[in-house]
Amino acid sequence: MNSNGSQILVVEDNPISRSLLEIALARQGHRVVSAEDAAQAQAQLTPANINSFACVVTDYLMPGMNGLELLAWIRERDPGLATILVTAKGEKELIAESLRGGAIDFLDKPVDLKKLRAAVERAVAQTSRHRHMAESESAVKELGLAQQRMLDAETGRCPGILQVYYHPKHEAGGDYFTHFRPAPDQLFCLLTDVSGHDLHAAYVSAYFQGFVRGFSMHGATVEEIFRDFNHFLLEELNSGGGGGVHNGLAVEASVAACAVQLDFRTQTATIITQGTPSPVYLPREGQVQVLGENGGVPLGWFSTLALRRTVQSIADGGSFYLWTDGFEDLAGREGVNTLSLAYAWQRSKERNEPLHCLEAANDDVLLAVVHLASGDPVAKAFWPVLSEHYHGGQLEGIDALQSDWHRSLALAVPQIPPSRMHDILLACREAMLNALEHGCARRPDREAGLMMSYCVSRQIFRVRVSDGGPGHQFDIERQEQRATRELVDEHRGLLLMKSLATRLRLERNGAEVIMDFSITAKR
Amino acid sequence: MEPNLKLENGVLIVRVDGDLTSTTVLPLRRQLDEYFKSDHATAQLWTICKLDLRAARMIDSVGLNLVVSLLKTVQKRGATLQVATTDQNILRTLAFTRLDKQLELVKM
Repeated sequence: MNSNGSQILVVEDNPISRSLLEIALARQGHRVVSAEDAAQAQAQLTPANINSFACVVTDYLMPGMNGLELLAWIRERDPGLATILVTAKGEKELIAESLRGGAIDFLDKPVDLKKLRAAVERAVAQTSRHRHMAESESAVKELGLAQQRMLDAETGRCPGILQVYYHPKHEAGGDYFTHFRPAPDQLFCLLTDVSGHDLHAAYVSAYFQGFVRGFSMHGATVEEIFRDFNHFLLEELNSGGGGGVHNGLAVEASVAACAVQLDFRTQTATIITQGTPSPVYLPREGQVQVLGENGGVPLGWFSTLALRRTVQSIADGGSFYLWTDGFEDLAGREGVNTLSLAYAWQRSKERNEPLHCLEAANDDVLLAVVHLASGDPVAKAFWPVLSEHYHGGQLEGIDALQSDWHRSLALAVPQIPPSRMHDILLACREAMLNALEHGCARRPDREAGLMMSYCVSRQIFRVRVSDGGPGHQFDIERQEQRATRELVDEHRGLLLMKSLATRLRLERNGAEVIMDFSITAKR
Repeated sequence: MEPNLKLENGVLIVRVDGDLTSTTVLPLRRQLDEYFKSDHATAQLWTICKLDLRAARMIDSVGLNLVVSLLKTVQKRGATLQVATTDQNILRTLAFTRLDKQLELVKM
């Protein structure tokens, strides 16, 4: 880098030495400003002026403030401004201290002019580098803030209907969510995850959002838009100067996306997923549903694109979760259910508290929640906090399953007291043992479902365990009375569940068990 | 004697190393079955069987079934079953199932 023409501040109380330094640096092409002591130097280095200097060369021993003290003063105001300390020969301790204090170089007296020029050149280059980095960091931060503001605005445009939660790996990233209304009775939601976590990813993401919005508002279908953008990525971004993905070379950018088109007139949601996790539908009643097949290839990989659409009825006015793969990765790393993580994030944001596990993420993490009914279903209804399916062959692994439930519940509903947590886990274990042993007959091709939900306004936790078996005709009240008189051997699990839960309900001959646990009730 | 069983001062001590659940019960059940079928059980004179559950934090229905089996066997001998635990969750589980009325709860 050519450092000529930079402005240098020389601080030296000895007029002869000062002149020598001035002349040497001026001959190198620099503009030199001089100060007789630290006080004069400070007067030059005002907040308005300090950026105009590319380097400070200061003597150590001066009347008043010494060179090291001046160095500390400068670093407080502009850590990027490189400073060279001039010391008496052999002051090793001073040299070490000056380096620790942030000086980039030191020169012995009498100053060797050749060494001076070289040192100043390095110092000017370093100042330039530091300032450039600071500007870049500031720009990235600004971009990250802009992304966050825009995501907050997404929520703000549909209060009570839409919430977006975002935790980028760096200041700015490639995950994004947007929505718009192509027609009064339609809502279009788009989740995007661009490969990478940098400015490039953020740029491609923003471009894609605009692309989709523009084409969609002019009547193009999602399939058409995805195909066009796939073509654009392959031909213009990933072509790699004649190579690109067609030759199996590097892919510059790929875009995973999930589009959910809600049509309130037909009461349907149409979902197309390309490379993102499938959206999850949370009906107001019943089982959580994963919509469509996970995955599909992202846009920008291959010229042929297999687009699969899934149509879901939304007549019951439930809610949708959409999340990026970073969200699923984080749940996996924490060993918790995705619904537990989603619920924990929603509640922590409501309470304005940090969700510490987000710091463990090694990817951008984005979660969007779309409520089809107004009000606050998360607070009022039984909101799912865990949903799993297990096959009959997993009976022996019940301890591991129980550990998973424990971690998930502790994250989602941390206010469950330890003794109540024990009751929930034990009752759930009993119900699941029964479902896997009897309902699934231990067979790997038969499944049992587990759903846990929480109603925050009533502080009731609900566990629902179901299997496809025929159940078992059984008079629980009679069995319970018998157990008070004698040591019964059978159906102890069911009696235990009844004792542990605040309320137990059996459906389909006991093939479906629903247990409510009051979180506050003293037992 | 089986590894989790020992006779001490006329008391048969049955030690449980952790939770008493569906995944841990089987080895202990085998040890108890072998002991009670053996000549030791007939020859040894003890009037108290102490089930040491101090290391357990959870007992499920399969674990409770073992406790009931042990209780019946011990009662047949005219002896008493004691359960040693201070864990509140275990105590509550025994109370829910009314087993606390059929056996003696003790501290070790």
